[in-house]
Amino acid sequence: MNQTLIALIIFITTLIFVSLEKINRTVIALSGALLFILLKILNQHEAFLAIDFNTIGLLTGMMVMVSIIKRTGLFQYLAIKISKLARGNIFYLLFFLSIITGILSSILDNVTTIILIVPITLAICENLEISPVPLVLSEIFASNIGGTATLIGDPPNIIIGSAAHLSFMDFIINLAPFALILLILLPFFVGLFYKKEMSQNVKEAWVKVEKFDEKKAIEDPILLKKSLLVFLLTISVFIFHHNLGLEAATVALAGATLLLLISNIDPAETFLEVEWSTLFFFIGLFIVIAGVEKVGIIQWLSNKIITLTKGNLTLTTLAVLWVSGITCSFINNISYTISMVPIIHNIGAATAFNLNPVWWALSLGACLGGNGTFIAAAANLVGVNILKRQGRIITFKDFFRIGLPIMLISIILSSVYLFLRYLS
Amino acid sequence: MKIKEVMIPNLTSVSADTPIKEVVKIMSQQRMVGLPVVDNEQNVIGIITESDITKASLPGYYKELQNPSFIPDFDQFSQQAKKIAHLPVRDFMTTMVFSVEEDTSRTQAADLLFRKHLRIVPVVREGKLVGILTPSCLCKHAMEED
Repeated sequence: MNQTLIALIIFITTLIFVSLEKINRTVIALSGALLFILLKILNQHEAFLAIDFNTIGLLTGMMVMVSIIKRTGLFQYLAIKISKLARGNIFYLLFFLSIITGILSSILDNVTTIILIVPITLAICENLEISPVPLVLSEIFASNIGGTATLIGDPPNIIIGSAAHLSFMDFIINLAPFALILLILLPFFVGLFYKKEMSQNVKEAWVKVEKFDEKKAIEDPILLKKSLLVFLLTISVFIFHHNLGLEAATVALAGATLLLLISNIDPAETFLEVEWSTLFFFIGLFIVIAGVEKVGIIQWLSNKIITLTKGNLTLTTLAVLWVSGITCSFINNISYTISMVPIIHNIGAATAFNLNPVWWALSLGACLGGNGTFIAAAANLVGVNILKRQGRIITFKDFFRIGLPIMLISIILSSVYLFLRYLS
Repeated sequence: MKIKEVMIPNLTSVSADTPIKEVVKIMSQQRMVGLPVVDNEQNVIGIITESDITKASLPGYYKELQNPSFIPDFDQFSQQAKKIAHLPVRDFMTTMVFSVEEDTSRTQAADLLFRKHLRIVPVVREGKLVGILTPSCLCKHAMEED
């Protein structure tokens, strides 16, 4: 068997098994990576060079910082505070909770956001004696939309930012305004879908929610001050990181180290909360893609795409958007994005396009595709599982009925946005 | 020394159909942290403890919350407790029960209590309940023996 065929088999098997989630995805990615080395398609040196440490460093830095800030109770405080603005109107509650989820998920990872917001939502809903399902689903969708807005919001953006040398501000300028529009539209759509649930009267029971004391959620005010200081400083440095000549990973790791330094928290404790499994998943995938690239499969795929889109930038951008959106409704968006990066680089080299619209299309497709099905993103599974533990079963079909239209509408709006802003 | 010399003999037990309300009453009267659940032939089929009941009395979202301190009163807890009061023991008992034979040595029993973090364990003769063992039974005897 020739190397190309072997590489193709390893690559496709890896992608399929990662998406099936029957075996741990990290183990699959590392197995795929090791096969490339053991079968001598890549040597160890090439494999290690393929790991994008800018992505790994940025993820690690953010994980450390978030794990410390999470302890302060700040996010619970914000969620309760903003929920109270709803004043007994379920639609307002849905609106405010979705918006805060989206905003938080643009700076935190989506799963952490869901783990923090959903339990508060459950507490509110139980006190109001209403179903939490519409609110929790809306929060899941909001977390995927919010993640699209910034460089640090969702793993595909971290990968794209690092590969295409796009800065924190590039994402803020190009994606955040559009993500905000989607985020504001989302609760209206969910509200229409669950019209009956929105019309319940909870004015009387609202008194119980009013009694929630958000100040008590703040567990450690001193740590909160220190964390906020470091976090705001980190975000400020992110805004200028390209002008300062600093890579994103440097900024995140500097923030994490500074916070460890001034908070006096034992690093061993914090590092236990770093998702090593996710980091090694990335490492495995980077190596798998390097193997596929080396035997020429990526080059072949890129040429096919250029032929199909006739070297037309508009067609290429929209094709990347739609293929990404639909594919990432079913397969893991991290493995998809890591695979697409070298393809887009090749297209750029062959056509001399300004690739920026294509990168934005990849980001929008990969992040927003996450809303299509409940297997598409980790946040979806986590949210649905919390509901399941409360005895509220959401089936694949239940999720699909509302998730698919949301995904399709957001991809249609993305097409319009990309076309008007970059292609016309 | 065997467990039968250390255990609390002839302990009250409940059936799987006993309502939780009844269990709580027996527990508070006898100051027990748990009760063995037996079938008609006195075979141990499970155990119900204070912590099983407390867990069931908490609203589901409590377990998911990072910190429930912002919730002001006891309302939700009492509502949920009232809901489960008339439900049978079988809905909340642990069926994977660790038990010890009455002839087990004290060392083995102490090891089981320690490793599995048990506060109460049924003592059986051929599967039938003859008593219960708690960590304090073991300590009391150990401290008092010559």
